Amino acid sequence: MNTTPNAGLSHPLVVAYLDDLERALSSADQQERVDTLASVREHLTDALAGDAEPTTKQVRAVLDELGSVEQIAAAATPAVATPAVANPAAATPSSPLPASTLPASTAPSSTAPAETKQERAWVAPALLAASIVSLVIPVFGALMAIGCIVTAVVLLRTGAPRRNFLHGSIAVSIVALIINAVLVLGSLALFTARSEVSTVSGGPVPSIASYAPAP
Amino acid sequence: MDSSADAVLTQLRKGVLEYCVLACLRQRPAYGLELASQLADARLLTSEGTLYPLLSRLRKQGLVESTWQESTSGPPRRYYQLTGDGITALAAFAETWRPFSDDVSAILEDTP
Repeated sequence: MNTTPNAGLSHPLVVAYLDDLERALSSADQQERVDTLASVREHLTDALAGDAEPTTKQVRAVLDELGSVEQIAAAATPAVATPAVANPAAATPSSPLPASTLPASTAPSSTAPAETKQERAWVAPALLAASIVSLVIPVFGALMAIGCIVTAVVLLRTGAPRRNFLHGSIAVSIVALIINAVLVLGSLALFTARSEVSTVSGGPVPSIASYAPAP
Repeated sequence: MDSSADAVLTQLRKGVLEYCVLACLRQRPAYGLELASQLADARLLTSEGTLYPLLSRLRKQGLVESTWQESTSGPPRRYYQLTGDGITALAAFAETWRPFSDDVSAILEDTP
């Protein structure tokens, strides 16, 4: 949720501070980076809300109380580099909070990003398989192929693993769409041709028996 | 205060700050600046900005949750409040802290 634009946030010192903070948090856990940037903006909005045009002195005082961007970045958990770590807190000894203080019941949520990535590893091969199946199913295969393309594009944009499978799925799905389009157009053309023959002759096509030579 | 005392205090704060944040939320929800000011006034937080990565972790751990509420003096504010797990974690800390603190005090007094 965004806050209403605030005069204090457009002060050059605040703009520079927020830019520096974003850079300083570049190697922090993604969720913490997003949350921290949003929260610091809210903090500044609140702290500078009383003045329509805060003076540089007031802005400096608020920024001094917030602390340096390096101090804030040091308080954030570094991003987990290796996937599927059982306990990221244990893998980040520089974390200001000891791992032992984390309640056991909260462990699953703290490992969510790594686990999510690992869990999604099977999605790309499954998507490729679905694309191949869509090749041999007429008409409904086209719907499947469209679904596969959309899913693959979304997964590619969210940084899912096994990108080769996703690219393959898109390619196979496009082929399935082309095959289905050819089938549908071919059927329509055939149907149209038959209708035209019926219209021209004014009735049903005579049977072969009617051309049989007279005895 | 000399630098070695500062270093000790920094380490001690790191160990307990999480629970001090939970304790600040025990009575009622609070928004970021309010919490930061309260902790800074209690000399538990030297840089108010360092509160926010901690709040993000507490939320990820399910110990606090946040909701947006309208403000009479500006844009909506994100209010933090304790969850059931947060109340349990705070109670466990409080139960452990008192005997621990007594033990540390006792050994410091005994040490010549």
